[in-house]
Amino acid sequence: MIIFFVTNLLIFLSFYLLLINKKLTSISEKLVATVLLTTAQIILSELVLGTLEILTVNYLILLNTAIALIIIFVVFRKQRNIKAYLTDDYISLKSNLKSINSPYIIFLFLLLSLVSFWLFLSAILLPPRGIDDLTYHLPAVFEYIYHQKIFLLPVEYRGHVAFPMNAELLFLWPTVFFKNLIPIGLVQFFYGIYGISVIYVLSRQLSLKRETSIFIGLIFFFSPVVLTQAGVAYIDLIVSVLFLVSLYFSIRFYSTQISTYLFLAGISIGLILGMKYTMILTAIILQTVIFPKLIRKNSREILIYFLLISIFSCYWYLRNYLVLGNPVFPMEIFTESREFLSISSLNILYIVNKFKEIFGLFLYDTGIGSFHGGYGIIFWGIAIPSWIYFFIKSIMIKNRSRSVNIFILLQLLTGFLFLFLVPSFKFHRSPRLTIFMIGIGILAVGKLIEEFESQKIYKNTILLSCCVFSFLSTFQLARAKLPSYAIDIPIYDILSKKDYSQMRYLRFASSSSSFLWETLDYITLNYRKGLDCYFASSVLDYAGPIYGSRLQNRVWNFKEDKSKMPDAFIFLIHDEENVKYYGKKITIDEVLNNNNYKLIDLAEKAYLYLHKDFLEKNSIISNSLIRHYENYYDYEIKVASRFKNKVNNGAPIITSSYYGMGFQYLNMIDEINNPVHVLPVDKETQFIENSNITMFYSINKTFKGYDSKVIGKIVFKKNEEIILYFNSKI
Amino acid sequence: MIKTFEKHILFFVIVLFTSVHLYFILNHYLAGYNRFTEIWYAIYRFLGFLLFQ
Repeated sequence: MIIFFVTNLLIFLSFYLLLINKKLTSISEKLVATVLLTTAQIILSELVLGTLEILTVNYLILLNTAIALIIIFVVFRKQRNIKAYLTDDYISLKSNLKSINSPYIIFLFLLLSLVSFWLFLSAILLPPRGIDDLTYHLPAVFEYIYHQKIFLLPVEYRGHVAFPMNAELLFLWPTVFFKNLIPIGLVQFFYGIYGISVIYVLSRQLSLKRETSIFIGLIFFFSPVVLTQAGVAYIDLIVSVLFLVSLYFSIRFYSTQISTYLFLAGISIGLILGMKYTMILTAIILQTVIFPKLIRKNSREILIYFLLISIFSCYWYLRNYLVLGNPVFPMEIFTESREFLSISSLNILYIVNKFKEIFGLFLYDTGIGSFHGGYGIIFWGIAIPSWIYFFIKSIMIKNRSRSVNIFILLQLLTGFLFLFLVPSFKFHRSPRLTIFMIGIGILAVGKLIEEFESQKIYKNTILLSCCVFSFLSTFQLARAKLPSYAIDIPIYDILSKKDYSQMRYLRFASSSSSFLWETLDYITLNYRKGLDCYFASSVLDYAGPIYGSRLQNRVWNFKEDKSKMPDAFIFLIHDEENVKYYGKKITIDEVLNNNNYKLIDLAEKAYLYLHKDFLEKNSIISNSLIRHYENYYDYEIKVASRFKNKVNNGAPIITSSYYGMGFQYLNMIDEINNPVHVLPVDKETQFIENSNITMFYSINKTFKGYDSKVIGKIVFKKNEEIILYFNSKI
Repeated sequence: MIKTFEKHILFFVIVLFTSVHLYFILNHYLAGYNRFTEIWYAIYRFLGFLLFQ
């Protein structure tokens, strides 16, 4: 942990010193640039080491520390008056902090501390639980870490694995140090906080006061979608904040023609291009302010600018072109795409529908209460009318900063353009793609606050409303399901001294298979070698949770060498006709008829099989499984114990009922000697026929061709009769 | 005079936009209140557990 913080600090410090005399105007601008460069170095070092197939924590520390020390050494050799610059920055920072004297800002800072604490606890107590996290963002990261290289996961699994992955490399950074899932939930939170300072510098660019700039920076963070995204491994917040950074440096270059801004713009544009395909559009739009000034620069600077963009983005596009023949796979540029509007489907009906959807966005804030959307009351109620007012005003009033003001405010329309291009069936989960719109809208709120300077009652009403609405936004965090921030449940588990896997809380976000991810994680937590687990599903294809909370397991489907059979299987079969198999088709019937595997846990239509070698007496996994049964099958164990003396002739117990788990537990602790076969629903007959079994026990079920005798009967709960049958072949 | 009138209109439009939006969405926000208090009560209990265990 200390090494992680020291490495980050060293990178940050090296870039801060590098920028110390680079004509950057303020300490806040330096901080924004320094975080950008730190992000860039982290991503680039991972890309380089990942390509060289030595992506390990030691090499990452070595490379990044070496670069940082070289930069520090060079700066100290070239720069004589560092102390004077540091003193200037300190004074500037102090005067910035003095602006925090308004009660509204203090309130928002207090709220920020409380929400940060909540998000911090969520990261510790809850596992990554977003849909995209678990399907492709995190499996890619975990595979990179395990194989120590960056490579393309099989696209048959999901086309999404071919998306550019700069942002995912930011999740990889802390994970490779900590080797667990905890820091993943804090990456977007960090960029949310960074967003506050980015809004601050943009606001200062619009000549707003420090106090106003801090205030609007804070209310950006309290937008519902920013809050809900802050604790998960989605990448939309990171992308939008870095887009605002590239917007800032682009307009700074436009205003000053200083090359440092040009290069910073190049780096940030490269980074966002390497994060999301949608950023191609915004990058093109940014060129409209960069190009007119860029052509006045010498060819060396122009070359550096394009080189910087390429360095941070080309890897992914080039890889996709070379491997898949399409640089923007799985998007189709020249044929009809499902991702974005194609020209052929553009007609009056589409336009009318789109306007209806966007109007619906204003009324209902589509996606609110989830990471898909929720721009908040401040955006729709205050920012939008303010934006309209100031946009018109910026066009009408001619002054020196007119073009910059118009360009910044215009980015709100870029956001709406995105939403216009998104097909209707995806619209409800698309507002997250344009979180940067909130930032632009919030800038208009800042202008509004200063416009009402002479109307104190209006100004205070706006400030107070923003505080109240920010507070209300945190209620959204409480009721959110996608993702859940319900940390009260894990807290009560801790208070009652219960021993559970972190994956237990995945069930807030997922269906029945979440129970089995928990079982898999729990039994392997202390088994360092981990298991190679195969998965097939007809509903969700979450590969992420299989890796476990300490990244102890692997996904067998992604392995290149499939000669050795998996250690475990997870099947989630709600619809037998539509089960998706990845890597290799292994059906549940094949596993069922393979004597080497045993079903160790089941949840509604979800089944976890484990190789019997891992169930030897007193093995780590076997002991953990016994504890898991004690945690979860208390009732079933009680029922089985009541039947214990009835199953005395050594015949197997065959059932698809949950009570089978109780018998399995008794068998594992040597309370009964009968073999126990718990089977998927309706698979008993198939199993009995294939295994040539003539006598067996069953629960609540009789079988054709067998003489079934009632051996025992219990009524444990009201209206629930449990009957144990002994079946012998006729 | 015109400028002041313009600001009154602007404020009125903001109140209008906010009211219309709140009319449709306020319930969504208020629905989170109970869970909000439950979660913060749990955090309070947890802090007590950590500090005075």
